[in-house]
Amino acid sequence: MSWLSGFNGPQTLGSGLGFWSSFAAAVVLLAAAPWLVESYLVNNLAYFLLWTFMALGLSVIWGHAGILSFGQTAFFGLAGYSYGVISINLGDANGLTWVAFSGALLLTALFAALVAYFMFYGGVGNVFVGIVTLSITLVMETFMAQTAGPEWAIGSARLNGFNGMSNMPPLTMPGIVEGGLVLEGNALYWFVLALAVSVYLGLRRLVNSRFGNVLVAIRENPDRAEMLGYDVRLYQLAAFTLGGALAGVSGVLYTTWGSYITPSSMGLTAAALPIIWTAAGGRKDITTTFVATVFLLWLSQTLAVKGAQYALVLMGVILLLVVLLAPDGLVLLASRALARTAAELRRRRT
Amino acid sequence: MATLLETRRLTKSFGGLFASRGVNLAVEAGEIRCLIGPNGAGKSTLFKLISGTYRPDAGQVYFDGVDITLFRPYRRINQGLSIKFQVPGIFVDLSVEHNLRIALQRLVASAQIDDETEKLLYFLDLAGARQMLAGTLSHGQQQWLEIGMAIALCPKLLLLDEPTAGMTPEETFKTGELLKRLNAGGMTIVVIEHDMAFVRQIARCITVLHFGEVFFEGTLDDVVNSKDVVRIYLGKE
Repeated sequence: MSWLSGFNGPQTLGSGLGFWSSFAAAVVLLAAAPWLVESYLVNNLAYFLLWTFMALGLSVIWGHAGILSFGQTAFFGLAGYSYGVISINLGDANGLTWVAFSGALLLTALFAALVAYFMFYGGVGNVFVGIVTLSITLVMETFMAQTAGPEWAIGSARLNGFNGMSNMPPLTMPGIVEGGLVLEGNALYWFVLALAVSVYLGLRRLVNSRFGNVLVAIRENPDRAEMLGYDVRLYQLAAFTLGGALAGVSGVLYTTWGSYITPSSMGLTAAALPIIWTAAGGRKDITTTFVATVFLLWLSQTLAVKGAQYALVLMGVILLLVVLLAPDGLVLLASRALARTAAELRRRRT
Repeated sequence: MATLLETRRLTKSFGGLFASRGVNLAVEAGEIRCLIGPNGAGKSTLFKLISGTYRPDAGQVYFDGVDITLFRPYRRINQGLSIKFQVPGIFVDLSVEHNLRIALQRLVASAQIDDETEKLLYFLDLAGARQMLAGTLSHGQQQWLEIGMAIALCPKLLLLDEPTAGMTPEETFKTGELLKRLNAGGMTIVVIEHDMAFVRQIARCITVLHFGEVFFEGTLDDVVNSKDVVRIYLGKE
């Protein structure tokens, strides 16, 4: 088990054989889903998983570095629109959709770094980061919503205002089959799953590394972190850029999944949801964030059948419950209660 | 001995109140210097000006021959300066061990960090509390932990603001012996302290601050025998 030691540490829950066995079983089960459940559910699973990147990014920014960003959807939307513009202009031949994928992520990461530079090097901190980031996403939503006219086009890509962009080509792997393997249906699901597992494991390593230690130090006491010789602004910029890029991954995958992106994906409701997923799970841990995001998306979708407003009201109630009763998150609260019960049972047995 | 730290006409005011008024201070490499003075004399402000928490209104700070007046705090730390604040600046929601690791990882390679953490835990007498949250330690233990974090950076100059506040007489004595050992190893130390027994234990040279100015400088005997110092500091005629 020593090869797993890099994935364990003080910043993540779960480190024993039980945890990693459960993790492996969950991955195998998810990978086998296309043979076990109907394609409609596989498509839904891909949808749930593609949002986890944005939530995990927020967990790094907010849970680990202590910066509450209310505008991750700005990066989600920018990446989605960028993918649309680039891929519509380049087409899907010869793996050019991957140029669109990479270009959209690069652009988003640069934008996140620029926003972070002005905020952290400009002395914006605490609650004001939330206000600035929320303003950015709302400005972007408003701007994109008024791009309905034919003059709002980049090359052959029309922005289409409030109705949003559509008809962008799906990601295509060149060379595997004749004409390229189009990532749709099961192929897209496996791709999203593989990416989610990789990002999850990568983040486990990152938050338990020296870099992760510094982020937590900044969250706990930025003055002391600086007095240990760390350039707090640089670490905040790095964390924010990473979180922005991860929100971008969600944005691109969402755009390829549904072949559309609309300005409302950067609106107030959309901006609030990642905060609820992350807070409900337990923002300081990426596993709880991951689990809560998938669960709450499933719950929202299930309730949305009865009416979209019920799901949103429930999300609001969950946020209130978290703030009032479980500031460390409901999943973390439940896992601690389970651990206490298990310890009590062991004690009684001996 | 070369001058390691020098402040030239260092001035800082808050509104109309001068917390530091043209302070000239020179600390030689290898010294243990104590700063004393009544409450409000500007001792902690001087530390904050040296460490970069405050920017001075006027004057300069030189460290190891470099003008660090405009350096941000982290750059000053990377020049070889380390500080323990008056109010313990530890990571209260992290374990004791985690606190020390975060400090040690600045200089120690990953392969050695377990050993170095272990050594420091025993050195600070905190090995039994390694998994405790730092915020649950006693005040004296928190002081020790922060001193441990400060010395983990192997600084050339260690600034300690009231390091023995909240400690028992035994802990205070032990802290004094620790500082003497660090000083014998070549570390220059400047301490703000009110406990005169502790000052007597560690310092050869003392600087007295009053109303943001250097009021007196000399040995402990000089200080104790100075009627002016006794008047302003001890409130006696």
